[in-house]
Amino acid sequence: MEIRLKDYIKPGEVTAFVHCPSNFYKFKNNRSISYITDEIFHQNISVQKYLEKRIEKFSLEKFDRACQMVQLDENICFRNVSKLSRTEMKKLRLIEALLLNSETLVFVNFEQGFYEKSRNYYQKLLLKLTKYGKAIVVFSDDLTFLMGLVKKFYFVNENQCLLTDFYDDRLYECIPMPPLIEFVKLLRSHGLSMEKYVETKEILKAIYRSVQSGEHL
Amino acid sequence: MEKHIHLEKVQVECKGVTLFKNFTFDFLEGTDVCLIGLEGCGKSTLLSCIQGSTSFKGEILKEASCQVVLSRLCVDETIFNHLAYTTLSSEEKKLVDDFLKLSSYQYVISKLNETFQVRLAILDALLCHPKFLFIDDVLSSFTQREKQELFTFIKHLGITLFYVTSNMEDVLFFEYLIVMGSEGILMEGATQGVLLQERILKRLGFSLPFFVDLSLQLQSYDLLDHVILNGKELMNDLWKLD
Repeated sequence: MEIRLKDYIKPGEVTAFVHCPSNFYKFKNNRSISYITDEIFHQNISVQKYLEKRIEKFSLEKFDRACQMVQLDENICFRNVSKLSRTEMKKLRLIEALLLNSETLVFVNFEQGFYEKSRNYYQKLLLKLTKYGKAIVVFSDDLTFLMGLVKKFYFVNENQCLLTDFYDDRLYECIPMPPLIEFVKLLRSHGLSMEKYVETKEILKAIYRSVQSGEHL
Repeated sequence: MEKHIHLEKVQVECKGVTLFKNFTFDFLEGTDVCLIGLEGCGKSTLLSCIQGSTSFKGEILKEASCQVVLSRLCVDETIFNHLAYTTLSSEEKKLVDDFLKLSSYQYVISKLNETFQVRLAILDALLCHPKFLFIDDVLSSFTQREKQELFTFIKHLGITLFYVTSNMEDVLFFEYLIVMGSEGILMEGATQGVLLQERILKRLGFSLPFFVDLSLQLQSYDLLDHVILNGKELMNDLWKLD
């Protein structure tokens, strides 16, 4: 089975797929879809040369704005693409997608290698892009990253695409469970009144309320 | 005497960009180390310097053998052929069997999932019998339990581990933590001690492992007076169970 992205995505929304084998979707190069993957650049050319080849009417002014948007130093345009770090390569792919003004942006394991501050930044950026009518597609098994983006997502299991949430036990037979979910599940299994929280501050308040009210296990 | 791998004023220069200026560190046999670092600060490049595949300024003194794993293994051959299984000694065959826990080695490596491809890259390194093993941030598809099992396995072989990660939950597996920036080492020390420098870490852009973060926040609500790293223990402490 192969995912037909157009059956799932909508302009102005983030759609996420979890546990999706790479042969499940096919990258079809198309001006309206850009793929931001973690593939390594092997070309021995500068960033500017690379972008000039890929983008019609490449302008340094637009490039500088895109650099600001993805938090990349604009001096990168003189560096060799193959010498960039892995996270810089991902940022460059995102710049390319922004300069192409693609309608759909597909992020594949984009968050890997980024720490909290950058992850939060990119979560906000992706949500911001939806406000401009972009369709954002995220393929990732990092549920901690997805928690800041979506409430529900598609779980690909046994050739089926199931719409689910972060508390679906079937997920955790296949992918790592975030510690927050594991802890909330533990508390719920002991009868404590906990909702299906996905943020630390929510669980913190719930713990405070529970302990203060003298709730017992 | 403990053997070590010593890095003295190591740095890489590339078209006007200097990575990890004067990185100096002693990897001591028996002390597993975890490294986190700002994006683009040169974590992988540092490992490739140790591997010998990137030229650098400074000195790397190796008193013991070391192996570096920078990426997963993805080749179009079977595990059996790749390992040249028939040529392995009985000790090595046991290591392969214990490590892979597979009933057959006839799987084509490129068709395996990412976790297995990473395991095979690590196995290749283990079969070189290193004293030190350096692993880059390649374990993202592993569950925490799989990582724990992997690290325990490596430790039982008497190998000292150096692990680069972008997953803050992983740092808790290690006794020593280094925080790296583009200028070199920003912080280092016993892992819990470094993690308690919460404000500095957060200012640098790092999060804390979930239970460290939750414990510290519960302390500010006067619900806890120490850091607890385990969910069950935390639950028992908060709701006063024995």
